[in-house]
Amino acid sequence: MKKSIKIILITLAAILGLLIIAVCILLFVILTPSKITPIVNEQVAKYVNCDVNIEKIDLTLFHDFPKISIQLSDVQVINPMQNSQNDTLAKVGNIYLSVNIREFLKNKSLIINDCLLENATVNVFSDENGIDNYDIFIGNSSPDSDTTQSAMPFNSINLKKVCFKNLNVSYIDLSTNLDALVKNLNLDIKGSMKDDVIDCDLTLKSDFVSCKMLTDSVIPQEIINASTEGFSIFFNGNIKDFNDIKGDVAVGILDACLGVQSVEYLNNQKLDFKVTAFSFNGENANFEDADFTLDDYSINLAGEASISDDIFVNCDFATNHWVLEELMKILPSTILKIIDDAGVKKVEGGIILSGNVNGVYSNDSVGSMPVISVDVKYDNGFVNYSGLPFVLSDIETDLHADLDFGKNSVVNIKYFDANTPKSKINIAGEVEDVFNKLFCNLKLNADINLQEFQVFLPDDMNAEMRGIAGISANVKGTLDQITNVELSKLKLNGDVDFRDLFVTYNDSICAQTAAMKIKLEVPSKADYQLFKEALTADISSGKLNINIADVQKIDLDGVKLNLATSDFITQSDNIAIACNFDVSKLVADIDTISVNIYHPDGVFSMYPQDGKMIYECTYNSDSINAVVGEEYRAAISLINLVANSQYDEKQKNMLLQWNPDVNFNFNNAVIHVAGIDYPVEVPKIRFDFVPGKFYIEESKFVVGNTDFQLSGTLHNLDKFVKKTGLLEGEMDFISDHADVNQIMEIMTSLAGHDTSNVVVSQDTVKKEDNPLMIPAGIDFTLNTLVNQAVVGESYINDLGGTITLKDGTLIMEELGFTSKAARMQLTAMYRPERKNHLFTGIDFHLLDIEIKDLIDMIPDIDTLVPMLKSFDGKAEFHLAVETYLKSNYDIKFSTLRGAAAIEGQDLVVLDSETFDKISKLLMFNKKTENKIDSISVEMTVFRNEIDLYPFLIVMDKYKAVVSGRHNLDMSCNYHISLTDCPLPVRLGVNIEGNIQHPHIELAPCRYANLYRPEKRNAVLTKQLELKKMIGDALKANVKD
Amino acid sequence: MNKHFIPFLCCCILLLMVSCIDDIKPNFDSSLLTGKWQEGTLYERYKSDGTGYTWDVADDVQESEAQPFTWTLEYDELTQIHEMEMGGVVPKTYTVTTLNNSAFVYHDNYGVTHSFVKVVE
Repeated sequence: MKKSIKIILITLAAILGLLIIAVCILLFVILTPSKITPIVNEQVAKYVNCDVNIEKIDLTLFHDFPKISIQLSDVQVINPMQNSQNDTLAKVGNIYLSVNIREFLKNKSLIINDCLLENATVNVFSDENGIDNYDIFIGNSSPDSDTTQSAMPFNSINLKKVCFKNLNVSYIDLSTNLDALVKNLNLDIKGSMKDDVIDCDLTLKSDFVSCKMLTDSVIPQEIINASTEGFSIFFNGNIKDFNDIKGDVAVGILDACLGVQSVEYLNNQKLDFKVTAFSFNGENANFEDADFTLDDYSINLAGEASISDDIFVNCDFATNHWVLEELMKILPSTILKIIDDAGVKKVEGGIILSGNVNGVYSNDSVGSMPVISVDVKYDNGFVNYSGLPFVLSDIETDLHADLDFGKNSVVNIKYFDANTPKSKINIAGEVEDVFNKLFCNLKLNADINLQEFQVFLPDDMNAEMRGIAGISANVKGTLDQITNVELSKLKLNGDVDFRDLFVTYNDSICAQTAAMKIKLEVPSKADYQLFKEALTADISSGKLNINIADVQKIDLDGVKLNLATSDFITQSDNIAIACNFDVSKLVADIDTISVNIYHPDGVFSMYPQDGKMIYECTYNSDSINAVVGEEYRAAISLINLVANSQYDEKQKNMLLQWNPDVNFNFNNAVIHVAGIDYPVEVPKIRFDFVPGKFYIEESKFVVGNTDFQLSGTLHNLDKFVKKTGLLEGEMDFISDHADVNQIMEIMTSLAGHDTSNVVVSQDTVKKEDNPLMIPAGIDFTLNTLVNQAVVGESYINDLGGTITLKDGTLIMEELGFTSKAARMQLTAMYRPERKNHLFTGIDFHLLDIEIKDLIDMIPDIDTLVPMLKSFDGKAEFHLAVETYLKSNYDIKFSTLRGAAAIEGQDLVVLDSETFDKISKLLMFNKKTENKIDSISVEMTVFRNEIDLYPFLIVMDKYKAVVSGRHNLDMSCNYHISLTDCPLPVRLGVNIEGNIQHPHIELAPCRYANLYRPEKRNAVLTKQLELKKMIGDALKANVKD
Repeated sequence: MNKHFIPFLCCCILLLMVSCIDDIKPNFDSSLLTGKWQEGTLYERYKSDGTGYTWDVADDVQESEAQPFTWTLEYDELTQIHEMEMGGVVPKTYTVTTLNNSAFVYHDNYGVTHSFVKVVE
């Protein structure tokens, strides 16, 4: 080593030694705490307007050089203000700061090796006027006075350890009524700053934080009241340009309480917020994994967000399994009230939400909301909703919702399963336009207990349902369309299987079936071309029992019904229905009527047209068996019915209202009537009923030995009903064979059968008379033709004539016949003028009739002409009789009028006791042949008197004139004058007394000159004139 | 012969007288017949045009429902012709024994007598 170098080194060592000695002197003599502390206190007082007292300042320069440190102990800042919580603004037990002076001097880097603030208490106060107790620096009263930008004095800052221990802060701001308190705050920060990049590792913990803000009112109300028993923040990351933050953050809050405006949002709950790998630059935030946890409820977020004029969010979220019944316990009362107001009384179950929020939130005039996609899984759910009459339990659902508030929002229901106490429901499908029309495309499977769901029926419907409905259906439509059942807009197809169905309506109509299937389809694919079909229902059922008021029972078996309807919900005034029906068997019991119908089928439709309701029906059935009490039994093998009707509600009469058009056809009916030994067989009936016209095209009847056909037309029915015209008609009654004896027997049986009902013990109850009243305004003609009829033992042929109903009168006109015994012509009239005044009359002619047959045919003729039974041979008989009847059809004898004429030739007088007596009295020769050459009898009936006008009997050599009267009481007063005989005297006989046992005696010959014109007197002449008048008048009606 | 002629002539005169007596009939004024006559429940009304009608209220028949007839009165012989709707006629001849403003009596050839009193002109 060179000497110079050695000298230099020694010199430098000496200088250094002197320097060290000087520094040591400075440190240990001048910069001692006792020396520097007063200096600092004195200097501080110049810069602050309050009392600041530092108990001890210890500056260390060389102990850890190049680190220098300063330690302040027991620092107190006292700034008393009125109403402040404490006069002491701050009190710090220990402040320690250690920096690297070499780096600072050499690299202009601030390296804080250690920064410690412990045992500090800070009382920040701001009064009502906004004057703060921390505004202590002189010249700093106006914080805005210095607005110059200060440049960063360091190239870098490195905080190796910054530690706050046991920091307690109290903040009171009377201008905002804010009271905040932080206890035992501990903060550890490590970090560095270089090139505007701050790396930071921060841990903040506090045992207690509270914040309370009150309203500025006479009686202050809480605006915010928040507190926590444990609060911690961890941050590890970097900050660039004081704007761009990246790192991990975790916030933990124990026993958090939060009340806003007296509403408790948190109550001693644990809150955790943990974000890893997040970045935030003032506008944009990204976070890969963020967990928010409230007690056991967490939500994980990952994504990004940016805030400028609008807010952009793209964030995935996922929750853990939230138990709703527990969650409900911690929800704030305001939310619980909203839920309660919505009608949700109780919610249970577990729910997991996951999804994504993506889009822009804009609050401008256009406005927009981000799209929220969320998957919802809900299990073991339970909902008690006031809108439902039952609770929903065992709810399991998995659905995905894409909620685009500005456009279409879609909820995809993978499945929604729920149970009511007695029903099961499964729904799957999709709901679009969630926030507007709620367009649903759902598939519903359910087992519905109808009793549970009957509350959904309208109250005024008064219906009750029991049974199970198995539903499998697809429905498309908006929620309004579904709830309002808008058939014209809905799309629905599905099956409903009813089991053990029991329905009552209005407490009187009951329907019951073990099984029924209904297949629904909306819109309908049916095409009846009658109206716009909206709904199709195919209904099939096994046995269906219908009970109406326990009186009418209808049992249906094998029901198939294809029903199509119009939109009867929105167009309830004009319901249109069309259906095909097919029933295997129908059994109906209505009062005493029992009907069995086999295989009724057909088509029925009703629809509006031109303001009227049109009804159309086609009906067929294989066979019908009917029983009416014990009186009637009927069996019909085949029925075809085609009916149309235009219902006009403006009309008052039922016929005009319905205006029916009916084509009716049935075959092979057999009707049994009690008391009649013969069934009424109807081989065929076919008729048409069109508006105003009733046309029997064909009909055949067989009653015992009698058959007949009836055909013809009734028309002007409409005018008749309107009372603007006569009901006109003409029908043909044609019979091949009629057994009048049997018919009379049947009529007698019917009469006997009927009267049996009105006899009680030995007293005959007077039945209310109800005589046949012929309505006025009817002009009806029945043309009759009977090829052969049996009357008594006689056969009559070609029985024909007309029966006319004309303006209140029934007329049997010129009804004629031929037989081996006679030709007949009958005209009869029945005209009820009032109930107890019934006109009836006959005009009856028998030509070439055997007298015996005449009496057999008309036994009552024996009463009118008792002597007739004494003759045998051919005769002519003419009778006209009329009378008025009482309501019970008894004759009003005061109105009885009649005339009869009998003409005969070559008659044989039958041997009889009366004839023997007369012949003895008149001294007939025993050889006299009892044969009458001719007879011409005219008689009249007037009231109860039957007058026999004088008539001549020519018998062999004898001529006798007979006249007289007998009364309906069978008393008689006859006279026989023997006008020509072999004897020289003219004898007469009077026959008086009862006709059965008359008193006969000789009398003067009264009519000796009756048939001697030259000797006839005026009286006899007049009698002959009257006699001729009677005969001519009677014969005038004889038809050739 | 002469002694028999006087008695024979007397007999002839007597017979002629008897015949004349038989031919002398009461000639009732038919105008007295017009009006409404009552016999118990039986009524008859005669009109001047030769028509009339009869009814019996015992059978619940009112005047408006009465049955018509035509009538003639020659001397004491009353003839009623009851024309039926059904086409026949029922002539009735009676012998009037009394006819005045208040009484009307007739009988038929079988001894049935009817006595009416006038109730309305």
